[in-house]
Amino acid sequence: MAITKETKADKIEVVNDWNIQVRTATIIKEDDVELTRSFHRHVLVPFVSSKAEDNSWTHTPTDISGESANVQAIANAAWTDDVKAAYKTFAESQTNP
Amino acid sequence: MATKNIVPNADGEGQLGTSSKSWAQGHIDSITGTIATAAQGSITSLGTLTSLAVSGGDVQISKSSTPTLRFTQTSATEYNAYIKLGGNDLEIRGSSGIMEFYNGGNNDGNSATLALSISSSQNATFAGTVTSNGQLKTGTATTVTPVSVADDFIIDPGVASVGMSIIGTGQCAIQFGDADDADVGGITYVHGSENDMIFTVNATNPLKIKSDGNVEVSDGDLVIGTAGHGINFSATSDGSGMSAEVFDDYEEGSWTPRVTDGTDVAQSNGSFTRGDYTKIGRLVHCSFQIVLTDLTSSGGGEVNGSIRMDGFPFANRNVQGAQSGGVIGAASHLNITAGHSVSLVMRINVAEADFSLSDSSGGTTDMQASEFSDDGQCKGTISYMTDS
Repeated sequence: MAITKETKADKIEVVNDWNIQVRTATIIKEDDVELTRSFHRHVLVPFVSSKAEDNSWTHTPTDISGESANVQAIANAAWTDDVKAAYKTFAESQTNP
Repeated sequence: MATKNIVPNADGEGQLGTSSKSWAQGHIDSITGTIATAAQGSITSLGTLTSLAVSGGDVQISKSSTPTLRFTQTSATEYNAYIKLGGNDLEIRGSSGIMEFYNGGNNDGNSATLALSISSSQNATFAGTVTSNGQLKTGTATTVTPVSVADDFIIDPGVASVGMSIIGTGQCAIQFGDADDADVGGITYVHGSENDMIFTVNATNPLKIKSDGNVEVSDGDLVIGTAGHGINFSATSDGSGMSAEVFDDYEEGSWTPRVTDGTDVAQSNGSFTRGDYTKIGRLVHCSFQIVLTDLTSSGGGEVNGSIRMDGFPFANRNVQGAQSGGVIGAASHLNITAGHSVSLVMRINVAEADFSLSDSSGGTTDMQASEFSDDGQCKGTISYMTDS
């Protein structure tokens, strides 16, 4: 009887241009038969945006090096220059920076 | 008296005589009465007739046992009843209560193959080929070529409405079996008071359509295989502004709440900091607990200014008015004034919510990092809509 644990991004969605919604599934198996499956979610956007006291903006690209290869691939494909520019405009338009 | 035979006279015409003679050919204009021999009242054999035409009467064979009508070559196997229909070796044979129908062959009169056998108990067996591939087919049309895995029994009469009826008063079933289990799968209709349709897979009955219209899944999940589909409630009455009536998603899981100023992320106790979510349709309900250990990020950056919570499981809707509010039900170690309360407001089109503080007579203000604290804690819930 072998109990194994597998973790993988089993659902990756691009929502409203720049949101990459990632669902990470944790699968527990016994002799290759799935016993349980649980989900953890997080959402990625192209930049970490902050506004300085002089009202200037800094948009630091989101570090996705820790994401799985398929998440990185989808993020890189979805975050085109146009999408990145749109996100910067959106972030700077928010009431709270 | 010596036996008299018909013998030719001098001019070739027949007359009774005693000599044993025969003609190369002969003709009898007509016969009235019975042809008989002197030794017996019936003709036992006419020898070989090259042609026999019967018009206006029957051919009757009357015999005490095994009456036989044979249409066969002398070399062919004989049967009690054997009718060979000329042309393409079409044969009907009968013997010992078994009726057999042959067809095919190569028109040599002796190579037809068995197509249908009807036993003495009326069971019918298609023993030969009905179609060219050994399939059983009713109807002569070929509206479409059946797929190979389902072409062994074909009903194709070439009309619009086609059906097959299974009539009974108890259980009527179509069974699927293999070498290990004769009824590992199947569809069964139970007549009588139940009137249920039961579907069997892997020797269990996980699905039943009951007589009252209810569908019962006794063991297993109802799996929606394509995103966007689900349970359609369009039959129910609608509220004004209704935009969708398909319940197409449900999900439970966890998420990790974080306190951030948008750049730096406060450090938290991973054993106690946790969020859970339930997504029902487009509604996302989140509960969370955050236990900070330091307002300085692991990278050394200080969280300051207005703070927000991120890490939510889904992005909020991208529409004005979607800035849902959340409740901080309990908090401790915050640097706020007694009587003030903390709340959350979702940002649109991202997975973040601003911390707000009810410390103003005019409403709320953005909560500042200085109003939290290195060991601040809070617990709460928030619900919002998502476009996914």
